[in-house]
Amino acid sequence: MRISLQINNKKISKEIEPGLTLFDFLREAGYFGVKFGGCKKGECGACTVLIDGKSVNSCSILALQAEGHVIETIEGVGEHPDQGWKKTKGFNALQKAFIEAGAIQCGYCTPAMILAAKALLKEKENPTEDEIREAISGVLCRCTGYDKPVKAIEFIQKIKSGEVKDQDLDKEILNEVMPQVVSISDSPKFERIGQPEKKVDAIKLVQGKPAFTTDIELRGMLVGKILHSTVAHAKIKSIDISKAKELKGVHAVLTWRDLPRVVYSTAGQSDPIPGPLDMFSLDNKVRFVGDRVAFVAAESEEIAEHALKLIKVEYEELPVLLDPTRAMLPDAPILHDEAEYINFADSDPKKNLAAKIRIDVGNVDEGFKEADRIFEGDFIVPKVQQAHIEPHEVVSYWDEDDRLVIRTSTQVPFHVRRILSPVLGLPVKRIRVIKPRIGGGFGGKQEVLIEDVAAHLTIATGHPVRVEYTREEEFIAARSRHPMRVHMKTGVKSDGTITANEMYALSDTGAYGCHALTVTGNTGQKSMALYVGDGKYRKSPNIRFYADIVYTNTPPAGAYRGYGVPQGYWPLDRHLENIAKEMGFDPIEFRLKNALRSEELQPFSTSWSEGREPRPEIVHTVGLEKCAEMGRKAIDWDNKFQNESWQKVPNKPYLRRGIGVAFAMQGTAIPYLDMGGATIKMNDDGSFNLMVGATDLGTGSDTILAQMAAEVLGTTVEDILVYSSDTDFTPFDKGAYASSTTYISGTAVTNAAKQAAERIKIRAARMLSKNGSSVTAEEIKLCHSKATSKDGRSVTLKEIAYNALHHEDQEQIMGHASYVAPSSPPPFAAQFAEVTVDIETGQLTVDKLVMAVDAGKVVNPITASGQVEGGMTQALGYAVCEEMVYDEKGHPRETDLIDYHIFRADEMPELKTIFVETYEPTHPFGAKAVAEIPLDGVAPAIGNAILNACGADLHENPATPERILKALHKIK
Amino acid sequence: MIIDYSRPKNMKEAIALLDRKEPRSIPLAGGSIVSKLRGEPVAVVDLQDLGLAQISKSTNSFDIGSMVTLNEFGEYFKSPEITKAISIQAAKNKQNSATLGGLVCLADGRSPLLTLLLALDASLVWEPTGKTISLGNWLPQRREWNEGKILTAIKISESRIKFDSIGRSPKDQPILCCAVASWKTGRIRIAIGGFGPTPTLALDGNKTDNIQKAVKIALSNSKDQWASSEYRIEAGTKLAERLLNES
Repeated sequence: MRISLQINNKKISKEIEPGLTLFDFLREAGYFGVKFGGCKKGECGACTVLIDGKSVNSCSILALQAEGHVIETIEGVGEHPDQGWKKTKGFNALQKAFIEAGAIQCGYCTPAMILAAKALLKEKENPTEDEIREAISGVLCRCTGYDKPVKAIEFIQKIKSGEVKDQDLDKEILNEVMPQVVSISDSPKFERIGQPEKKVDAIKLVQGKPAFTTDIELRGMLVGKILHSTVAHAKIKSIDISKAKELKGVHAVLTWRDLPRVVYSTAGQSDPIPGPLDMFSLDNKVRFVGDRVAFVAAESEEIAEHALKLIKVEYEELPVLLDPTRAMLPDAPILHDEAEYINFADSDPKKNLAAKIRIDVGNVDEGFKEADRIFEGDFIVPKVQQAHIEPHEVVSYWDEDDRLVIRTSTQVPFHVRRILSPVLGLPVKRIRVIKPRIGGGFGGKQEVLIEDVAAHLTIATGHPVRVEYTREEEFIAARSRHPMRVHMKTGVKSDGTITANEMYALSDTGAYGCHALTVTGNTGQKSMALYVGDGKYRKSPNIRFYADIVYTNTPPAGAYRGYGVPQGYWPLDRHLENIAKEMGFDPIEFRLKNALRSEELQPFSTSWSEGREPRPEIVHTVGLEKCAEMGRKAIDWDNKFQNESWQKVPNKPYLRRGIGVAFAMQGTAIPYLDMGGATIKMNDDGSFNLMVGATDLGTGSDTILAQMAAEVLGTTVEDILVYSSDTDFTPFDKGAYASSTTYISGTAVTNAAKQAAERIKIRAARMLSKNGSSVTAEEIKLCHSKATSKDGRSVTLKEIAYNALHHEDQEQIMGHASYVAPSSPPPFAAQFAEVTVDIETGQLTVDKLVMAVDAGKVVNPITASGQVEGGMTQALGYAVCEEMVYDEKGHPRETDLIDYHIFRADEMPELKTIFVETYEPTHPFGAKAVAEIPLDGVAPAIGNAILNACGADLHENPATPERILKALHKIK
Repeated sequence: MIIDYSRPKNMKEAIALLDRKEPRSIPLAGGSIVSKLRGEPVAVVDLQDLGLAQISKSTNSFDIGSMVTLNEFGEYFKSPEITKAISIQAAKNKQNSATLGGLVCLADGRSPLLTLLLALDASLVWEPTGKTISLGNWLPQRREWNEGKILTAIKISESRIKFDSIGRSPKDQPILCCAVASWKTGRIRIAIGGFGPTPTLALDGNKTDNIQKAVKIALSNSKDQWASSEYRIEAGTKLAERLLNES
């Protein structure tokens, strides 16, 4: 049918199929600012456009329905003001405000948010915060926690009313969004470190530029699709693909018979992978509902989906194992009976055991004997999903040199290349992995999940192939957080000293063992290490952590932000709260009394590392006490805790308020193992290309790496052009996981910049000496984009660059460095929560979350606070509403973002972030990590607040209304 | 799969299109269903030009055109209870495109807005038959309904409405929701949702003495993957009692 649409004041006419959605029409027409959230039914809002000025999901409307209406996309909102000789009207005020407020993290939902805000501001001149939140409620954001986008939108009104002048926008808006930063350590003075620099990628993201994996078109590109298993455990008796292959437009149908049988692990980790090899690209057995059965490549999505329906699969169903407590029983069905299975450490597929951990620190049994009281408790934590708004996406193609290019939304491009090499039968040198912009990952993209699918189909067809998961596939066939059942046993003296602490975790890795050992190792290694006990126990704590990680017929678990640690803090901190309550201790004082202090040994460091040899680590900086003090003040703890009149809500006798606290400790990188590299080179104009293998998945790491380089080179962040990452052009980096980028990649960047700086100083000294008194390189200081001698003479970086590249003793000024950390300095946090509980229905409302964090020196307070706000929001979901549930046949309850509810902008509690700055001596700028720790404390703090509100002692999260009411009945 | 699209300019034309035997033709309102139409060939008939996006008020009642969006519905009534139900039903983008008619035809028992409409004793007007039927009577025969091709309007009479919902978060789909409508005549209707294929009418009458029993009956088979019947009965009773007291 012929259609004519009015898009951004341009008329576009073309022939289309009647079923084409507006979303598909726009993407095909090159409007890549309209993003795919995987759903096609309006769950996430990433595809938002304006129709007649109203925000609408373009995936749930036909293009033909939009005919006769005015359509606006982000491409029509504003653009870069300076395009060489062509000047444009520039950015819209909203785009500017989003940049200045740091309202962008991964940027995948940014165009949608800006459009939704634009619609609101056209309708309402002076919207309230509630109205702003409602207006953007249709756009789900998994990164920001919504606070900064809301503040950015609020600021437009201030500009309109004249309250703030346009030229003062940057300063004024920063005042609004800057977190509280309290320094408790001496720190050198820096120029760029500690500054709220604008994100280096913000400008492209507010314009909706085609920065993401599938924002490209390649001639002859096919659509790849996966046939997923409909049964939880079965042998594939037969697959008939004849009808699918005959379908016009189908180029390949692959089953397990077509591919080499190469066993591997999808876990994106350094070699050797610390886990069993137990997966094949395609196998003759399926192990969960959603497991892979066949791949199809076709000329359109519709044809590919039709082809999937034409594949006839005959299953020989096997007994299903869903209950992890039954996994190791003698009569349990065995998931992995394949001959190719390769063990790692204690894995034993005959017992459905993917990994086993036994760590004893000190003498735990003796510690229990020394205790006055012993407390035990059982706890359950759920399986949850990363739910990044950009699904897993891959495009693969052969290049002109017959090398396979894999363009993928991954956190681990170098691991993808290495892991896929044997799977594809290609040497590493014939694979190039390009990581464009990532629309959120949170560990879900630390997995080599669908890159092999696209690659196999490209090999089979010779065509470029695009594979992108739908939202349903994200739920049934991606990775998730390991659910666990945890038993706690703790010995306590009557003065509150912990004498021994024991945790046993039964962890469910699902059908495959990716990350089984390391995730669960961190569950104990990070959480249990926080509480060493007091007095003599500080030098010789008694801690035990045992775990069994078992297979079940559920979708595999994997890496999810926090990497096992949130699973540890729910049982640990809820248990400590119960002990404090039972023994009458102040909950904050009890925790502080037993918590790790500076210059003490990380007690697990001598017993366990992530599948490697453990080495002792001293924890140099611990800002926990100050975090507790600041958080306590911010939430007004002293006026609320155990204050019965505050707990009651006037005129609502069924409501009770409560307040809770939890402490957390995370890690910063994996010591002696993971490496990051950086290359920096100087350009003619004195700018620098910084090439890193590190992957910014929305965290702001490209920006803080640029800040570190700029600090060393004495230049501006704008003059550091970050390129990340491409296995052909950027140096190796382990990727973005384990809270390592600031620490490991940052140190590599700093060292590379130092090399370049050294060359700059030598040349500057030579240039200055020619025109005056002699100067040595050691006397040169790099600052304000100049090299300045002690006597005040200077040459600009541009002059130095021209001198080096064109005029004299020509050389490419550059630096290259790599770094492996000898330690993992932990960040610390005190998390507070305030809640209201309906004691008659169990309905829970979280009113406020306050987090005080010691992340060392904060490199960029805006991006760091964005991490904390977004992290707290994810953790809030973990606390109250997110979980993945399966029926007795292993079919999932949650397959979309309606049933799997993540928080919207219009239901958020108040968030507050405080940074307590220590100065970590092992980092060039004193930094530690901040990415993962916000995930740790929210759930237990909320659980503790519920206990405080109404006495309901929850041992299982999320805290659903029914669970709360049941817990209330127990005390009645 | 959608093989044909038409946008009729009047009701007669629309009915004729929907009467076609081949291809199977279905009305298209906001568009929420388009992603689901991927199987057998189907023609869609877009109702946007039929003038069904109006709300009009007569003495004690309102005629709400079936193409009125959820957002327009909320904006017109400006009732905090209706606004709350709409905002739980859908976030802003969907409110701007989803229509009340589409919701009535497609929503299930978890729908807060359908629960609210059931409490309000909404009536549905169909063309070409001109048939009017109460929502409560229509919902059980929704799948087999053949006395009208196009839902043109939803009628509600003036009443006082109270609504509340229990979910895992403030805007989560309800595990349980309850709407209580009361009229000047003393009539009270209580509808309960959050489970099942349609919301359930717990009470319709002037007496509320047996509210606990009524709620218990309505929720006795409400167990599903989201909550037990026992929980829903206990919480639902409290919710209904509270809303009744407030109404």
